[in-house]
Amino acid sequence: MATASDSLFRVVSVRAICALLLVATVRPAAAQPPDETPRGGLAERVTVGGEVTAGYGSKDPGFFNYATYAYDPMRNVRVVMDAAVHVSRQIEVLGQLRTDGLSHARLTALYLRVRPWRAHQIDLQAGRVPTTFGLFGRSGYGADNPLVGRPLPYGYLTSLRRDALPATAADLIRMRGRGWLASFPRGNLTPDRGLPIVDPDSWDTGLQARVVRGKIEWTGALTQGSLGSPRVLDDNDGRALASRLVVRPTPAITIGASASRGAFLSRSLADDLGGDATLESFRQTATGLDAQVASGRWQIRGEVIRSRWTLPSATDPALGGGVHALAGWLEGRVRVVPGVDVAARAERLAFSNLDTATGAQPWESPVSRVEAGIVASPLRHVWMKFAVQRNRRPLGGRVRHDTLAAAQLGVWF
Amino acid sequence: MRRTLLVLGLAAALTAASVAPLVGRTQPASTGSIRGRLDIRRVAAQPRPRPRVSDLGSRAPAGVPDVRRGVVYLDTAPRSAFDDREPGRAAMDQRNETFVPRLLAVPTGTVVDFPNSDLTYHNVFSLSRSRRFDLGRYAAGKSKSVRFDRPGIVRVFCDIHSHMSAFVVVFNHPYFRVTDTDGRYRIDDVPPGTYTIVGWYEGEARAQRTITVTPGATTELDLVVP
Repeated sequence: MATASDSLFRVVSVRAICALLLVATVRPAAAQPPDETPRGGLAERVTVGGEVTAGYGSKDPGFFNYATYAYDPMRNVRVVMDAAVHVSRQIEVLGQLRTDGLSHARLTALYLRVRPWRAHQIDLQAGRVPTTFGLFGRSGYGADNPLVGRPLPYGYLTSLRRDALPATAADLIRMRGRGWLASFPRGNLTPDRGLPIVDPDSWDTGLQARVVRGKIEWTGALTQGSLGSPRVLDDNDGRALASRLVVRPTPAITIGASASRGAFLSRSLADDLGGDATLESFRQTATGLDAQVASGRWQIRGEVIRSRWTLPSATDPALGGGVHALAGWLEGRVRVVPGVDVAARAERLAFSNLDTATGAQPWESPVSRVEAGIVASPLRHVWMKFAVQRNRRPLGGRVRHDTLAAAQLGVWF
Repeated sequence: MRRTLLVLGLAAALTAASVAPLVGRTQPASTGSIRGRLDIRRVAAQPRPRPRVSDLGSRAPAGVPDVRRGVVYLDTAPRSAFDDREPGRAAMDQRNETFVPRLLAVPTGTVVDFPNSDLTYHNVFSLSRSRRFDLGRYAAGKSKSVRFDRPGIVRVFCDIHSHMSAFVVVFNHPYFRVTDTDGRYRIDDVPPGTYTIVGWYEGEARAQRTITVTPGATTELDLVVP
């Protein structure tokens, strides 16, 4: 769901990164200290990388994989360009341009990374920064993902929207399984996509700090949007706080815990809240626990995420307790021969109940998914994936179960 | 194309053995030496890590791989080159997310150890036709080995760190040397005869000359890699 601020960011940030590239490549008039890197011109100061993926698969009429109404990640062509400008050994400017479906390019990341003290592993980042929360939000689509689909909490669209509200619990239940095009009677009446628990395609804007000490890594962030609705410019006078703690007891094991809280409703709903409520009091609060084990030819990782959204309840007290979602996924990958991996993921997304005239019912339909696939790399930087995905959504949507197959070709450079 | 030529050249060396002068195991007094310099005019750019845009902070800086060395070898080898030899052993370490050395030249049958001297995991692998292998992830202090039985060029990578790359060049004769950082080389104990000598750099045979080796003498030959 593109907003005016996102569009503005596209234009402004493209100009900004060009300007930063120019500024960063101008050699300082004074002599550089001998241990300062980099030296020289553009080629030595800038590193560029990227990834191109093209997928084609069966149609997804149940919108199980759609991250926006516009395109299906299972049938997507994505081009990602990453760039880093090394201003000095302690300062970098990093950016990422991305296009989905070869439509338009978006500047999905642009931030300054500073390491104030060389002797300490403390980093400060400011701008449109990587998602602090969870295991999957910073990678996700191409080479980092052994399958074609993404875990349900990272993209599956619930019916909740940031610019429209249900008046009653029945309004919300009516939209079960329609997160790809949900509509409610308050706020923006035009049907549009709902919110995922974590939006992996957009990063939030703000400040981020990371501290690494031995086997422990902590990251905290103060940003504009919320986990499921990252923003470039503030839209509700609220701030999002996120924190992630990672412990690596051995190189083979990584254990992480994440938390995030941020206001998720847009300013356009300010008159629909009722009572004395303010926008910043309606928040998405999420907590997560994840683990990875990787040794030999095996990699196993999994995550559990709980998310709660508070909703205005002036018109229906049943909404007063907010709504919850609980997601869990487990993924395994094994290299069977050099260049060939097989992988599988099992996952479940469940939702809390709301009291209605007909009894307690989940506010969204639970979803379960199993996906299995094979990844072949004929060359080091080229991969081909083939995956089969089985989805089940018993309580909502026009399509309640579906089996999808998809292939993906990718190259990184 | 040049890689193909190299592989073909190595294979041709086997064929050439059948027509090479019949000489037995040579004595040092009856052999000659070749020495010189492989002049690399344009040193390859050092592989650098890709931008880590999705990282939550900086990573420890990786080591600087040595890209100044090449290999000089005889494209046609004397018959004695193919006498049975004891298989040797070599090592390619992993330090600061860099393969050390980045270029290793070994005769067939050599077992190469890949110790991990970093604090993180590495996963050494190759998808090269002449030796395809994957050692899986293993921790600091551990080492795994690969035996190279076929001549050819084996590109080695780490599955976790995309900027890590190295070469293992495998010969079916002993007449080859990895140059030093100034490009200097010396090949000893070469039976007298006329040979094609090749300068190899960064995956390609880049220079080629004909040389005649005489007994008890050292023949000087410089090769230029443009």
